[in-house]
Amino acid sequence: MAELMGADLLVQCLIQEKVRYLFGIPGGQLCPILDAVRRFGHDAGLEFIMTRHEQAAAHMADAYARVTGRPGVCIGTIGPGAADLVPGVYTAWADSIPMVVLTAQNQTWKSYPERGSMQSLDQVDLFAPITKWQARVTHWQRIPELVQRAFRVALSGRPRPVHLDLHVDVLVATGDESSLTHRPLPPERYRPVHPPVADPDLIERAAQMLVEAERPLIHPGGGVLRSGAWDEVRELAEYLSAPVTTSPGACGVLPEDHPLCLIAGGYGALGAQAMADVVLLIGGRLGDTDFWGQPPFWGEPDQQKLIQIDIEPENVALNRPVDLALVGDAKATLRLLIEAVKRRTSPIPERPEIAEYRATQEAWLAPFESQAESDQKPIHPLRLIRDVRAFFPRDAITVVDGGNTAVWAHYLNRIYTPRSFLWASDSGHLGTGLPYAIGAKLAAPDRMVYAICGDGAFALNMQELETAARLGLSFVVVIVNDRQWGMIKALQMDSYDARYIGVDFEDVRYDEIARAMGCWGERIEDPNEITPALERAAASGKPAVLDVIVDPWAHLTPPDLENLDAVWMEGCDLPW
Amino acid sequence: MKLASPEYMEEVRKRSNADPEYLKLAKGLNASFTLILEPEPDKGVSERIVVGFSNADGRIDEIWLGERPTDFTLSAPYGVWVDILRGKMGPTKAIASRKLRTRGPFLQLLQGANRIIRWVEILRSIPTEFEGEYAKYNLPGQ
Repeated sequence: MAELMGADLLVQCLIQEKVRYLFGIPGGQLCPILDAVRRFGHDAGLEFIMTRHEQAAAHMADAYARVTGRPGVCIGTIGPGAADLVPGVYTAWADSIPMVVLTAQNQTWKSYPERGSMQSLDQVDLFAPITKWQARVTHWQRIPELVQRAFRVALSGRPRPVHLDLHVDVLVATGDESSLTHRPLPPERYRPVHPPVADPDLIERAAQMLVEAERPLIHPGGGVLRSGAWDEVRELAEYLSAPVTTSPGACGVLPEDHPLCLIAGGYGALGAQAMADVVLLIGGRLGDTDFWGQPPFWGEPDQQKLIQIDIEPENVALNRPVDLALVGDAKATLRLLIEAVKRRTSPIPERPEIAEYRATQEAWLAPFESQAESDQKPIHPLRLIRDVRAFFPRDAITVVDGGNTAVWAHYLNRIYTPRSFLWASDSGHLGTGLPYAIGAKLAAPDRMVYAICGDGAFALNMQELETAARLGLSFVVVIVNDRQWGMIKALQMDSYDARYIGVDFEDVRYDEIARAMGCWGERIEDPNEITPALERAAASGKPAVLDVIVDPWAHLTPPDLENLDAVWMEGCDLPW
Repeated sequence: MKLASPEYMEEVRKRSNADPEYLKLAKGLNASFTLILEPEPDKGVSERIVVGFSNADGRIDEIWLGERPTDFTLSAPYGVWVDILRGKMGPTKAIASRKLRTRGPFLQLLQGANRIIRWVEILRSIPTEFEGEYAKYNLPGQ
């Protein structure tokens, strides 16, 4: 049998997993891996995507996973390279995104503990809080076993990032292939391909509860997107005529103009959540952006029954008592639940309260739609959001990155297809916008991609414009430029008597930066120029930046900021 | 005027029914409300205060002191009401943070969110005296 180098074994395993992209920055200790990609990875469809910062590399891997449902893979060299991956890995961790994080490590004989090598860092501990499993690869023979295990763990149960720390002496070590106990194999040989389903008896009980409910409600979280269960959610909702309210991060499970879909956090949704007698929560935890699943935005736990489907037992009743817990994959479990419901009842005709929920939603949206008609200069943020959404097709992928910008976008940027809304919902991590757009475009080259970014958020990773231009990608970044950290400035205005500190920027010409990096760039100050500029940007065939000057005072206080503040600063009353 | 006193409630009725914006937002509203101001003895507010009012097609047609069965009940410690009236927090935030507790059909309450916000603006314009330690926040009125 042939002698194989450790790095070659690693790359063979990635090829077996059909990994399409490795996102990262090269480093001395990574070169054995990159060289293997160059020698035979390319021919097998594996590409190295060189980024300008490892954080952005991890965000791109995250976006790739969000769009495709397959794990993203990012890579960092020892020390600073690994440390710089952390923000991107954390963001994926927070939103339950499957990701495999590969870091190079010094030789086995001079690490753990490190003893003075340049760039040395004991990296397993660094990643432990933001990965569900970590391993040091200390022997050539264990590479396939540990790579296979990494993918198995990343995709099992609640998907999340995993970390492999690869010692460089192991990467360059060689051995006889015949001595391997685990060889590179296709995924179906080392990880489950049929997800676990909940107990059938419990599924029958859940069906009975839903059929007997007078006002059932379905509330999908991000787990529905991870599981690919949107068709099942739709089928069950339509059969039961049950309204669907999603967690904010799960927008797109049902088209937001579907008659049963109520926009997350809108008054129609909040009212429906409060009025339901039985709630089916799927793949969600009822965290703070779901107001903890507590009254008044939900019913009282002793009056409103909760059925929870989750693949992760630890998530059951995390924030609210549960009446029936079904532990299993959302898609597989919903399939059986739909059958059980259909055995019990014919399709339920539209329930009268749905019209009232929708009317409440329309009334909530009306002022936003009215403000979006504004021709004012500087531009009103809602005018911008409306025109941007109207320009792109229904199946375009939306990326949102910002504080107040994300809140404004939520009002009028409708999502119509699943896995098409990329937002760091649980971390609220800024700086994701541009890298997410790049990762999304690589994942779905045939779909249009646009990002709506605050200027502060955009600037955190704007160096990746060069990456996008080098890769020849085409997408549009719309910068909502108010020259401030708006959400924090609003907090200082409302709660600290306008004692502003550290929240204002100088004017920056992001359009000129874009052009300097080989992208399309325009500054927009007239609302009537938004759509023509979008046309020019899309036609450019380049990564395009539209630097749109918005009214900073209008942008400062989206109406629901106060509600979010109530949740985020709960129990922290200021003494004045 | 002492907060929630009979003369205060009368002023609430007068100003609400004279406010075109409030009446526009409240049009079609036929519902009754109980407001409960819970005591805070350590802050010098010893009495539990309960007042109520009803709307007929948006206009406040009746006000009263004490408890009656009503469609909605809003209750909070006295200091939370003070915070709302002096603008430290809006009514929506008070509800979202569960400091202002609600009873009654929540969907209808949400439908009237803009009406409630306007109504609080009207209350803020009334010269108001607060109890105990909260007297330092007395509102001069407009």
